[in-house]
Amino acid sequence: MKLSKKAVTALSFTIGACVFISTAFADMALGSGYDQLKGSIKNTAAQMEKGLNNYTIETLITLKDNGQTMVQTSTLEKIDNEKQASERSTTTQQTNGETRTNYSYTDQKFSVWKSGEEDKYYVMEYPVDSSRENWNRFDNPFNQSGAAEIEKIVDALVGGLKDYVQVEERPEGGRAYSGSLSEAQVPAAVNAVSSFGIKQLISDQSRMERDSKLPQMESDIFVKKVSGTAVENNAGLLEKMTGDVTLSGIDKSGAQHDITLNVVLKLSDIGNTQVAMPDLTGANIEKVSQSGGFSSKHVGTYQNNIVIEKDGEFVKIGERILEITSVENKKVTGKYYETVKPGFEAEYPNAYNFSFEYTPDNSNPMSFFTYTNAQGEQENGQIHPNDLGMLYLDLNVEIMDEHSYRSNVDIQYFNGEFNRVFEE
Amino acid sequence: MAGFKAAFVNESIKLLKKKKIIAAAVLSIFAVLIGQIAVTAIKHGFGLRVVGSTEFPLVVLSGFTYTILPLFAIFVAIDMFNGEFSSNTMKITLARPVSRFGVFSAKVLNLALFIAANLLFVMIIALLAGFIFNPSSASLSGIVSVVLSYAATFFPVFVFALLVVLLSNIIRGGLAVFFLSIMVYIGFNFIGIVFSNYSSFLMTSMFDWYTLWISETANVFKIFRQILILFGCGIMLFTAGYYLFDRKDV
Amino acid sequence: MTNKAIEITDLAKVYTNGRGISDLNLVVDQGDIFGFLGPNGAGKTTAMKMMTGLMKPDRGDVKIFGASITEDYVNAMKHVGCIIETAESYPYLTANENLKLFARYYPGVDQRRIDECLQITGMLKYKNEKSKKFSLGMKQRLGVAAAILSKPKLLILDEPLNGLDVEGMLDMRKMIKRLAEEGTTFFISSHLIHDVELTCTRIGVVYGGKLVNVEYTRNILTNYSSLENYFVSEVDRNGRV
Repeated sequence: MKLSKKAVTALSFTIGACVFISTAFADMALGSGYDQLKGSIKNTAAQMEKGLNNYTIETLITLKDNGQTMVQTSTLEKIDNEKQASERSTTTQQTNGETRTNYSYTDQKFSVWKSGEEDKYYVMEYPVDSSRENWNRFDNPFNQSGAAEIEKIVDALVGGLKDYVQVEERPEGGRAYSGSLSEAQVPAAVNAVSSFGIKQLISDQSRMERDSKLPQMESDIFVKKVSGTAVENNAGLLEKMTGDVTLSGIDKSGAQHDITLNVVLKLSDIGNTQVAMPDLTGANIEKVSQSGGFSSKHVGTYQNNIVIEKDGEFVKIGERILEITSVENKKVTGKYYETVKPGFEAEYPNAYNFSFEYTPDNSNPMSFFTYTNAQGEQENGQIHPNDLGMLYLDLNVEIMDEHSYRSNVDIQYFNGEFNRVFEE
Repeated sequence: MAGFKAAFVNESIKLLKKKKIIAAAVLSIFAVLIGQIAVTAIKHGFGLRVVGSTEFPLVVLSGFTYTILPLFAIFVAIDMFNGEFSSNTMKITLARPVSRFGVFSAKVLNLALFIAANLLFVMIIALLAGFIFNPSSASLSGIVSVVLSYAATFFPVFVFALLVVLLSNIIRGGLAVFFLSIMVYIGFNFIGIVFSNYSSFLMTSMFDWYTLWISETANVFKIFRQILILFGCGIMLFTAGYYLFDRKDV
Repeated sequence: MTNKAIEITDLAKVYTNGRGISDLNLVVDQGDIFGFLGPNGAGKTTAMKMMTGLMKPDRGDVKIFGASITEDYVNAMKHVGCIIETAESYPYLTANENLKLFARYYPGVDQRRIDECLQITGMLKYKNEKSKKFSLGMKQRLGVAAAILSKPKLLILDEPLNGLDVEGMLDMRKMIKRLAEEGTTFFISSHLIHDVELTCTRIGVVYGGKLVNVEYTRNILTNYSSLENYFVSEVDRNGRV
């Protein structure tokens, strides 16, 4: 007996260590239902971006007050990665009972959309050379910059709730996830923040719609229940996800409200989805032109005054003239010069005078033209039209990197705004 | 076990005679009060009902488990081992007809008792506060889940205390053990959040496992795994701590 | 066997600095008042710590009334009262509370016995004072009270006169004599030669980590004029070797 004191100690330690380490490893390997679900979502998102040829996504969002539907939005989106085409129709039922439908179709060459009850299709045709490879694609949210950090933060917030996600293997393959939280399990902080957020959301909504029927909750607001399910098929893709959040509260009149937000997402018809451009023969069509906003109607002369402050007064010392001579094939040609009244040359020494050829690309905000300034240096410039027939000119643009630039014009009383000069 | 009972009673008496107990009690009451004030303020300020009466003790628990409870568990553990060694009083217990195992388990059991008593104390005040301030939302099932939550919280905190016991038998200086324990505690929590894959190995990540126990659809397998992890880890730490305590020259 | 109170065989403990004690073989018979004499740092306390199980020996064993201290600690310590190195008590407890703690380890020690021990050591008037306010001598007396509480058959006392005033020393000597008459065996360490000469019936001299010689006091005093002479000659003999 005494002989084994050391042995007993060693044995006890070994048993403890074995149980601890093996279970912990098993636990780690199994992961939480949350981790598995996350993996599934990531896989599905990656497949949706690249890998699946075509598929249909249905989304149904319903907001109910004590079981009565308040707002409902359903979206049907068909995406064809091969043809680079997508079709999307959305139906929204507002709190006041109105229903609105929006439809849109996009492919490499065309964009077609139809809004609400207007019986008219807007059609936009893109030039062949425009860079539209990424326009129809579903963007994997996990590949975006900062996604990894956000994921970490979400993981931390979810924390101990991870294990609320239950996983079941389905007999037909794949897995079914489910989880629900009652009031006591929703962490107080999450409860407070989400209650507050939803409360604000509802009051914003009712401010926007005058005849909103959403109840204005005043007190005792809390998250009553959160639940969700997800179904993964045997290819590892999530076919259906549902989520429910119930918020309870009391309105001004003292009545109890349970507001439920229900979201259903469905992925279906993988490989069988047909995306087709709507038949526009005989339909009411409005063509929308698109060339960075420029069209032949912009040809003309535009003017901006050169103004300085002198002896406590504003004095016009000259003019900036921007002439658009032609807009052809997306190419804008023109001239820009600055005239200074005699006697003021010293106040405005480096007047510009150049002509330019500009090919704006509306999908890329980083398209510039180059010109030579008074010192003979090359600089970059940009012109934007606005809806009111004005033009905006940016000169001496410094390109910071491939996504950002900075305008270096530091001339006093110059905002880059040019007004059309009409000959009368 | 010869002498164990005497050692156990003695440790309890020593613990009760210390000012730390009063400090723990006062801080616990403060924690509950602050929680109640915050909840009331949010209720009247934003109209949000963060907690009902039975959820209030759970809110208190989620704060208390991560702050006051482990802190005082560290204090008591260090006092029991480093404190007695450095004040030379360990030998007057050891030179009695009681085995070192008896003394060690009496001390550890008292540490457990302290944690349990502290939890029980906070639970009762928090329940009372909840009933007083939100009497409308009390329910029997709520109380059951509160009791279950507080009971479940005991285990991971106790296993953490065993880790402190081990440390206090490795290192002589009480202050060093204190800071090391705090660092380990913060480190474990940090790892648990940032590298959540490894949280299975950390008892601190189970401090909030009571949420599993009161879940509507109890994840039995997960709870079972966590019990095994805590059990294994606890035995390991207890044995390692005892081994060092037994070999110690006074 | 029963007449052997302490049986030490081949006991050794050497610290990393080379100090300690080694090759300790000794038998203390029941009824002996054994004096463990040696200069500071000779290894007395180390030996006594091993005898009471506070330290684990490198090798060897100690048997107290036949029970091994390394293997059957609880039974070995059942009949032992001790003060090792310093008399300690829990400072936040009163004298009475301190003794009550120790009483729990022994069956049959009640409040009357506690009061009796306080009476014997002259601490009864400080019964309800916290021991953190005690002087060194008072702590020593309380330590003695704690040691004799269970009426042990063996008392191991390390420098029992530490911190005591003259009156305390006299009391202590008187108490040792009386308990010895009642049949208690003593193992007392001291560096005070005169004191050992007065109290002890048998003397072991420790020097430089070794037990140099063991002899009955009366034999020593027949061969030497005083214990001091004996001690000096023993130390000299061993110092030369």
